[in-house]
Amino acid sequence: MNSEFNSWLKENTAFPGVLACGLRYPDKTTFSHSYAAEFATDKLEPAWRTAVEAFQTSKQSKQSFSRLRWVFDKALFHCAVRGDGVCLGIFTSKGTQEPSAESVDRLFAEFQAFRA
Amino acid sequence: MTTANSQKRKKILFVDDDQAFLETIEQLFAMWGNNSWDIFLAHNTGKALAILQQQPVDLVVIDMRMPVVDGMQLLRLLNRKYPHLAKAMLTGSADDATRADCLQNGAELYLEKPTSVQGMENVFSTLDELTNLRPQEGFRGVLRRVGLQEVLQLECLGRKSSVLEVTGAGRRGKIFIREGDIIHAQIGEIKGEPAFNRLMSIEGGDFALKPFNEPPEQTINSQWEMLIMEAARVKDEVPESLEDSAAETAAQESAAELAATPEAMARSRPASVPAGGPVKPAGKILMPSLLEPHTEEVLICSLKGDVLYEWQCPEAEGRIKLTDFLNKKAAELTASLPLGKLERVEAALSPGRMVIKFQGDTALLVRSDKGASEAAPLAKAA
Repeated sequence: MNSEFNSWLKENTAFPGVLACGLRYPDKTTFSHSYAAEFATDKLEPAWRTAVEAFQTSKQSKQSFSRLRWVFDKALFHCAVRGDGVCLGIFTSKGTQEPSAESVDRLFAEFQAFRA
Repeated sequence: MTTANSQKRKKILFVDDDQAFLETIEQLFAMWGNNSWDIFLAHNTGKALAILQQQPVDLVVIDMRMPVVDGMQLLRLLNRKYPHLAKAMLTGSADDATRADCLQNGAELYLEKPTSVQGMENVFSTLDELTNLRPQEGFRGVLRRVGLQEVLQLECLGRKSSVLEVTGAGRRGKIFIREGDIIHAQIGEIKGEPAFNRLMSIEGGDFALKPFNEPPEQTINSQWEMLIMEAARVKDEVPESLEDSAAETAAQESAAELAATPEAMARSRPASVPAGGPVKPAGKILMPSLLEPHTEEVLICSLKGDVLYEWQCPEAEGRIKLTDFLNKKAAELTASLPLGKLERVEAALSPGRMVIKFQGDTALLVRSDKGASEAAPLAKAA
């Protein structure tokens, strides 16, 4: 399943404004793909781990998140986790290069619906 | 040689997201104040609250238009947390409705934002005059924060002379204290101890401690300790219907406020007021409509973990841990990736939305029951 999921992600994130994306599976394995030189894949793994931890922490604080968006002044970090524990993270540009909200929302909707 | 500096220095806090305006104000007002003004600047609500937490000021001047928490919301918040504090509003476009709203919510002044040096000088003179006036007018308080009983005890123990004007729940009256003795009370046509007991039964409202003047007659001769004890006993016997009726009258007078349960009021207490403290509402009570209709929870905290303000936030400790976690993790991410500074974190809930805004050393958390959800995704909602 992982390889199909990885392929799906790579195919569906090739739209303007995406800097990098990745998946983290319940067995802690990860997949990272970068579209920008500054977002080297070897630096991305901690981000996917952070995303998973954020959802775990939200549960501990009695407020379960279904999706998170971190807004930095230069980029955005979107993440979501599925019921089976697979976590998706995606970095996008901010400002004029920012992808449309519809395309990001569609990606996350497909992520939730994806079945290998 | 004595100069103008010998007078009490005035502490004025300006809150405005326009840094250039703040810097201009600081330079000009410091000069015109002849070194008698201590000027504090805050470019957002969190910073303003942090400054107020650290030290008292004489006056807060708030810009109406600010992001995240606008001037009106900050005014309402300050009016609840610091009812004694003088507040003035600055606006770029004045209108009568907003002016009335500001004055109703505790602002002393509603001024047009100056765009010229002459205009700045006029505003300075007005604010300077406002800070000169206040000490001669006594102080204002709110019974839900400082008990009327405590004020009376302080006056009597200090053998002071004053007139305590009490307003609340549709009632208004006066208690006369002469050299530490309570000598007269009046509420409407009722005088003496029954009037005193009636005034002491008011659970939420305003009071003003005014300079003493001789009452038209002396109607009370009992010792103040006995009076307060008797009032407490009588208060317990006040029929609830009377409280409800009075509250309903007040509710009709204040369309901007909404009726709330005592539990909601207790939850809405400022962070500085302990749960078992003087907040003791009975029957229906009134709560200012501070926030948008769909807001469910508000927390302002420092990144050190101090609650600066909370409203309907029963899980404040958990929220602070979450805020701290997100902030620390963001710092880790920014260390290795070119993300820049964290501005906020938005979370989709089921249902609703939570936004945690980070500014300086503080964070503002707002949870609403509308906004992003599975049906209304996060990016679109934002």
